[in-house]
Amino acid sequence: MSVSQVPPPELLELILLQLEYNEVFQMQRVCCHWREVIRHSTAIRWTLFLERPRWKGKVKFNPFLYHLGFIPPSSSVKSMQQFLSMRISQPHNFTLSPLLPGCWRLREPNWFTDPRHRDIIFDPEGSWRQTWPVNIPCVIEQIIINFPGKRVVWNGYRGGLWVLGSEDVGNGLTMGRLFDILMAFFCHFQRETALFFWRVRGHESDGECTAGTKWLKAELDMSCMVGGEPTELQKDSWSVGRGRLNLADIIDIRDLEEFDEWV
Amino acid sequence: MAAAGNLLTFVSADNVHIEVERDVAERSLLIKNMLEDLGEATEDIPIPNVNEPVLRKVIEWCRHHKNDPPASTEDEDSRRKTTDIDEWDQKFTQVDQEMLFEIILAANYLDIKGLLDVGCKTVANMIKGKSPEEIRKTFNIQNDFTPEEEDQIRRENEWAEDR
Repeated sequence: MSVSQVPPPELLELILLQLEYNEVFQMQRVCCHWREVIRHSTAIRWTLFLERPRWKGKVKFNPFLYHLGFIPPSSSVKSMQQFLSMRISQPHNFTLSPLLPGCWRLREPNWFTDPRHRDIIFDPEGSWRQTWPVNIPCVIEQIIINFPGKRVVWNGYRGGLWVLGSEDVGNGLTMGRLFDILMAFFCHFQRETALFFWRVRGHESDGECTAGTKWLKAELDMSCMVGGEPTELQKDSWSVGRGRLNLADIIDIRDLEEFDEWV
Repeated sequence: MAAAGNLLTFVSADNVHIEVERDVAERSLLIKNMLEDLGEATEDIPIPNVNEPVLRKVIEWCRHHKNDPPASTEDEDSRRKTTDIDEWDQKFTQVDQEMLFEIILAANYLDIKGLLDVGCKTVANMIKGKSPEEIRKTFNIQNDFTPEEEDQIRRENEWAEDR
């Protein structure tokens, strides 16, 4: 047996680029050298959504969103536009929303039903939290949330913009932060289900995203995230793993408009 | 049975002369560009860093794939999805690890994209589905993390574990 069987450093990057998204994260555990290569290789950081590619490419969603079941499997989505025009053709984790035609409703992905799995995924130290939701910057202009019996509107242009996939430290939304915001909304209004609409505008000159304003929509049932019975929901706080969040810490609550009925 | 003008001579790092048909040699972009610059190559072409057994393997691959369409600029997704390797290439890569890595290094140096892809995919397939412990065993890698470091990294990436 040969002494040096470690893949030579100059090849490790090329080899790791052949692996799937989640496999690469895992490979950080092999040894210090592998971890350093994964942490510092620009090409790998692009594929992990830890950094944005410099070129103007197709809009791609973070594969972790598929894993969570928030958007359909990657093979079927080529662009933001296609995503928005898609209807339920693959059953996967989705079913038609009974509340609003044409909207997605999650159908219990495994982290919904298995508390252990859920705790692992939503561990506040999870490395997915540092990744970007999309590969090119998209500005969230408005969030409309339809809770049962209540509609809440948040206007980004008044309260400051959030940018999905931006390196802007102040406004850039990582996956972790995006998720925290979702949770905080649920918590603040003490609801467990909602229809979420995110009005998203593509960054200028970024391919398919440029063509005006788009809507992302999803119906979410977060009752499983309460960490116990829904009645244990406490006002203004939501427990995800070990983290707790107040909506007021994330946005200026005065920017929220509330309506009693759906429009 | 190539015409004399179509035969080139490679000289390996260990100074072994190997004759190669020009169209086979041109699977290597490095060689192809060099020949284009030189016009007619009459002298031996030194291939430093690549020893005879490795060079012979590389030439074997190039000869088998000499009629492949040129590497397309396919988008990275379709390339990453195909971890399947064709049957001939699978047989070709059934060599010991050291040889495999040397072939990949040579493919990298000689700029033979197809062979580089096959090599990297072969190693990636050796990694797939294995735990970090098993990978260390496979590639004879020392675990140089402290227990605390390893525990921290494991926790950070546990979400990625099962599918």
